[in-house]
Amino acid sequence: MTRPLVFVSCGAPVAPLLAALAQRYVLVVPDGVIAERLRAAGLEALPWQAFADPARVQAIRAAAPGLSDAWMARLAAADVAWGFGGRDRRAACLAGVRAVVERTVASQLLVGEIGRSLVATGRLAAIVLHEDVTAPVRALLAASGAAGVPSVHLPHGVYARERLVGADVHGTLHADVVAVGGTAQRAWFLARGVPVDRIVVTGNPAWDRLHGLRRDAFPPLGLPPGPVVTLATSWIGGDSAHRSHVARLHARMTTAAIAAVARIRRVRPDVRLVLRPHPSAPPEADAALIRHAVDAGAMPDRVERGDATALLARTDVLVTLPSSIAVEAILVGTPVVSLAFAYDGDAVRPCDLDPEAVAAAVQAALDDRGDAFAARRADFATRYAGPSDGRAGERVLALIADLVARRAVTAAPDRLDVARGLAVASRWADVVDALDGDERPDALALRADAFARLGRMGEAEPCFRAALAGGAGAAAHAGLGLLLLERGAHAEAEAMLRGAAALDATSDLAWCGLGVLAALRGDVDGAVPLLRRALAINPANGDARGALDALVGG
Amino acid sequence: MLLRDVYAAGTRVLAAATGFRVPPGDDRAPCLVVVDPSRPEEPADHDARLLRLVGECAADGTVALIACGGTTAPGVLAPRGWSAVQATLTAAGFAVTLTPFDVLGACSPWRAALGVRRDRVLAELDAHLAAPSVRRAAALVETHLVVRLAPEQAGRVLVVGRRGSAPPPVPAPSRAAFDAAMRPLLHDDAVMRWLAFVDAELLTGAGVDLVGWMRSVASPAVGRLLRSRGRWWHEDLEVQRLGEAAAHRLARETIRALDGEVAATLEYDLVAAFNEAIGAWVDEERPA
Repeated sequence: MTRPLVFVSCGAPVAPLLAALAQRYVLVVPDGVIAERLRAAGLEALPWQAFADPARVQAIRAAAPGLSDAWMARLAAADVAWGFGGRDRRAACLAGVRAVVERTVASQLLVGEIGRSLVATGRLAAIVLHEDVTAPVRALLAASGAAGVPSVHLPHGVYARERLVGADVHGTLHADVVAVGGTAQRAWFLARGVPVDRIVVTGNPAWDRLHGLRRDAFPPLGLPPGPVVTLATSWIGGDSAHRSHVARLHARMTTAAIAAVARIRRVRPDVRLVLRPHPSAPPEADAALIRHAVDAGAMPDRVERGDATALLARTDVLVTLPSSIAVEAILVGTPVVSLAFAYDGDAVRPCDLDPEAVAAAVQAALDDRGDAFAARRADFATRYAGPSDGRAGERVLALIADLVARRAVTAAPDRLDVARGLAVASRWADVVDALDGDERPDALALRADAFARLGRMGEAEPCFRAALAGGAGAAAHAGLGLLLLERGAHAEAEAMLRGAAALDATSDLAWCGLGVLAALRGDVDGAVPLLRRALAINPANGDARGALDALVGG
Repeated sequence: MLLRDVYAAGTRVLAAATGFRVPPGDDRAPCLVVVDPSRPEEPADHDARLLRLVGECAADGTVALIACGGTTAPGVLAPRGWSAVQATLTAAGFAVTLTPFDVLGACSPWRAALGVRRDRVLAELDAHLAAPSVRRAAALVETHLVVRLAPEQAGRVLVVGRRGSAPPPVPAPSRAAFDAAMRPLLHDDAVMRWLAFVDAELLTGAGVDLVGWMRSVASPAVGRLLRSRGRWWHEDLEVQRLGEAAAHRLARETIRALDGEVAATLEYDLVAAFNEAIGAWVDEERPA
């Protein structure tokens, strides 16, 4: 029997689950290189591109520019207030949207196609994500969610309370369920209106490996003797408002932290400074970071991009900008000073951007050991990492299994839904097979359409007529109308196509058929607006495009 | 609220089937204070009511009523326009004070200009006003800022006419009081979303520099309040939050206009694009 599929996004919280998931599922991943790596590690994995029909990919690529233009024309005519700061920003806003649309529309259509193809296999059991807001993931969820494929989001970052409720992309849950690290993250999602039954506290699987860790199990950093202060920088995502200002603010934070270390060194020259760039920062940024440190008055002993856990275990105090590394440090048992960012609980010392204040906080943290710190640390772990027992991964796997089982019980896929997925993937012979014996009008209409597309007109026509006799809607009218048009039965074709347009004014097939009919009757002036209407509804309608080109030229 | 300020013991209240509710007053004319609580936008014989109001007011008395704001040019729907009321009262020997309010209200020029967008924009306004903090902020704007507008710019106008030795009206509260009251509200998420709405829908082209005002009222002192809520303050945080709300709103409006499943999936990229643009605009206008 063919094994079921699970889509995995492979970010930090998902990666620890891959080996266990691969025992039951074939892993589908969003990148060919990742699939190669997983296969090299002995896990059965496929890139999602493997599920794209090459013909459909080609059609999408051909249609995308036209779709971009159609969208922008619609947007330019739309009644949107494009103002900010008291001024009309229409031109700049439209230019910004155009850049996004032109950059993404083809890939979004492609991911949607992949999603529908994955669903059409009937094997896609679940989707597991470390991020559920980015465009490709949203397209995948849109395609798979309609078919009831369950999805789980495992947030990989620490979300800030400063982010505006109701105006933050992360505050809307697009997956079915979010598996949060602890109570702080649960409260964050609740405050943003995510229903309580869609939030499950599991802990973060990425932090399971930190459970029961012995700090002295890691080798020393190889620095001269002295307490180690590590400064971790942060990352500013594309969804952050006023990024240039935030970047300046982060630079000020970095300066304050380094200047604080310089002050401490005046009384404790043996204090070591290690710089830890954010993993998403490019390697070429390291030199600038070192220069920044030197300018701020403290020569760093090292820039460390290696294993974060080993570094944190050998760090005496972590000074951090807003970042999830603060959670990892506390779990490892390293005191943390946080610059201008407040974590829940008392374990992390928040601090103003004043070198004097940072220096005082670091010195206090250097002496912060013993039972009091242990108690604050345990409280913090509960807030950010749930039970912190090293079994978050097990809980997430159980959650996935539960969601998959519930779907199997409650939502056995309807074969018409399956056939619709196959139709989107242009698998017409499979559509005919899938709907064999199904007498529902919509099933008959779809099967008739599949017959027609396979050129089996003798079977298509009675199937369409049976669908219409059963009460099928616009699609059946349009399908039979086009078939009759092709056969030369123009009078009945016109009646069918007009019926389709009356039932569904957004039927591009109906308007296209009426346009072609008008052209065949020599009424070019009448045909052109009908064909343009069809193209406005569906720029990818090749028949309408071809007919229009033939009438008015390219 | 405004009529209540005029109301005092012994006030004669003209009966009204609907509208502003006040206790029944002394019905012996002439009275020192006569209030007409009827709604100016509702059909009624407003001319007759106004004449009755004047007739029942003592020689050194005060009359108060609400009139529609906005333009009073012929043909515009304004069953009881402020300028006609002002003219009648002036002719009857009253010194007239106009207090505009309800800048987003039923008769406002802002609503009249919405056109086909009306239902959608008003639905969004209603959603904002569901938050108590937004209603507080809107009330502050009304009582401190809108009262300084011209009657043509407001939805409704409190018209107070005084004759003889009637006491003069109370001056509007100071701008400093408004800034102080609004400062903490700038850290309320619902208020910030409402301000982004107001900025885009009302202030664009009106010459109001919301960003500059936010910078002028921001204060590190607010950091103490925020820290008690587990939040932090830094310079320009208010402007950053306005940008965040505006970027999100622009992205949502774009997706609505494009109206398709694929467009909805672009939310993150659209927000990022608008964030980038808004950041540049805000930087351009940063004081040297």
